[in-house]
Amino acid sequence: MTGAPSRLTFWVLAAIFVTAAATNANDYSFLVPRQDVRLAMHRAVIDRTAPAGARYHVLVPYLTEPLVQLLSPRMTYEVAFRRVYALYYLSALTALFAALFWYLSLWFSDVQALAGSLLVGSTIRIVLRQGEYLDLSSIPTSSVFSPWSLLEPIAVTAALMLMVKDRRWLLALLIAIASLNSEAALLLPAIYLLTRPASRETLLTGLGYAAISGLVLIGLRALLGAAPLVAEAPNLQTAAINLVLYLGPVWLLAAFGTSLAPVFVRRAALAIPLYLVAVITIGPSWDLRLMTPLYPLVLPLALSALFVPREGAR
Amino acid sequence: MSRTIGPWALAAVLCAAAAVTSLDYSFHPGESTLLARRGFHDGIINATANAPERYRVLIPVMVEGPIRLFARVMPYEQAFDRAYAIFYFLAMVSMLWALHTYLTEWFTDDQALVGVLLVACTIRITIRQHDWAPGSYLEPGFFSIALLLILRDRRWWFALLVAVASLSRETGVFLVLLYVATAPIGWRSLRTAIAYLAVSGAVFVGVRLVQGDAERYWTLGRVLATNLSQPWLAAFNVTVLLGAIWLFAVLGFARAPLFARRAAAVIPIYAGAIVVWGIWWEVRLLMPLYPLVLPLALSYLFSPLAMAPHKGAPYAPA
Repeated sequence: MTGAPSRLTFWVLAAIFVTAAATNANDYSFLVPRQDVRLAMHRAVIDRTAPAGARYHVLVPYLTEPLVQLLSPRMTYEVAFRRVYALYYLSALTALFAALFWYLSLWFSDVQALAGSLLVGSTIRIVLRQGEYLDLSSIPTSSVFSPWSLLEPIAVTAALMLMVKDRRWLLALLIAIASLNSEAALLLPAIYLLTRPASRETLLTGLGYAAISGLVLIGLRALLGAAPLVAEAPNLQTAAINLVLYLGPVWLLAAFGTSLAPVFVRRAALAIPLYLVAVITIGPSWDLRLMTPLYPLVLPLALSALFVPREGAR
Repeated sequence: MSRTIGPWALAAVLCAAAAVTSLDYSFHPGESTLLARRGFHDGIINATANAPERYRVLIPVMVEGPIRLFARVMPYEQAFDRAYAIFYFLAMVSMLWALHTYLTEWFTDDQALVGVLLVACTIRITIRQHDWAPGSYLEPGFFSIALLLILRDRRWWFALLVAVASLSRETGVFLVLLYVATAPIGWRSLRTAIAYLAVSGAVFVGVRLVQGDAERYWTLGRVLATNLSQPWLAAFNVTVLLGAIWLFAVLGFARAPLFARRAAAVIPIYAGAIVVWGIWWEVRLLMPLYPLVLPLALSYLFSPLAMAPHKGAPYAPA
């Protein structure tokens, strides 16, 4: 029945992903408190005065700043900042849904992959704006600005596709760019090592990728100077609620689908506990934006519980 | 390969899709809105609210019991907010479920899921710019179930649904219009439609007799003046409510099953009613159109199934 002809062409898919992203992008761009904090943090990254680790997450602020400057003569810097970032959030969310779709369509039919991508679209609100349903308090000001979190899952998804297709040089380039975005890039060499057959070549390539990421991360720190670390009080209750709401019962589907998923997907999923341990140890555990790289790792497991995947990638 | 999505798996997906939006709607609208909601609820229960809210009794009566139960172990305000949070969550999940069930009349499980999840992605636009509208989150479900009952020719159940929907909002009468639009032309259909209309009318009048006369805040002039104050906000909200789905629906109309095309005849009538009596930027009012617009849009994206699964129904698609 799924073999029925469909019209999921590039432009139709683009229209669907923009539709799915529009409301969330609008809300995340304009209906958030403390726009002043966002602007200040963006400026601080540009001026190399931001606290760690924002100071080293240079990719998005450095990409958007020229556009903000371009618009500034026609409007105030604040308005230009808001509009450029609104465009960025819309583009990043659309690209995230598109990337997830194309990765999932390696293992599932286009319609099923589209359903998986839209499942993220329907739940991503909790990532964009942490709920704080317990006491209705707002999120800490140090976490108000976090545009890099939307690029992280795109990088992981693109990396998974490159790994499946064994495009090593492109993967190396992607890892370098992702390391300019955030430290989550370190996840990519780990996934490479987990998904490739165990061999000396795999080990050397994986270490090479880790070296690229390490070089970029250390280079940024050397170039931009040491930055103070802002400590945040742990809120385990909020962290637990947020984690449940992150994908809700889809976690259960992922657990059921693990044994049914393709081998590559199962191997990549081994990175999930590694990443969770890293987030709980290093990051503010309540902040779900740190969890976005898990989308492409969890979703194919969950879809394997709903649909029959292909064993070999398309 | 495809596999039928089991009820537990579907429940997992739909609960995930509805959870954050329903929680945000329940707890994050701001203190003044939460206060207003408690006022509306009490006003309806005590028959002191303005029209038309005073006559929209279904949900306050349903939720009052749980509120009292919760209030035994927590402050009333907290009990109120939590009881309604449960209601909003269940309403959104059941709305998505009913929509999925209806869409599977014409599309495969996974195609129907795409339609439902598109709605779940955009539904956030409906939860703003109003204080009190619990009935809006039952209406799309009523429309979907009504279409299913018409397809299956379950007349007594349909009559019951019309009565229940009319206890929720006046738009219950549109279920009768759905029947008129989709039923075969003939005396039998006419008699049935008149009977449904009588059910809706009896509930309409009965509720007003029980609840008493109420003052009306929203006059037609005030509605129009309010609407003309922010037309761009209305245009934005209507656009992002369904985004490209609006366009796909137009493009898919000719390919859609006959039944879905007939049901779509209600769209301009319903939209006309909203233009006259509704606040345009409150796009929650357009949610009942989900089961009317989505089959058209999905017909553009996919080929509808040749026959509805229950072949004995008298309204098989073209």
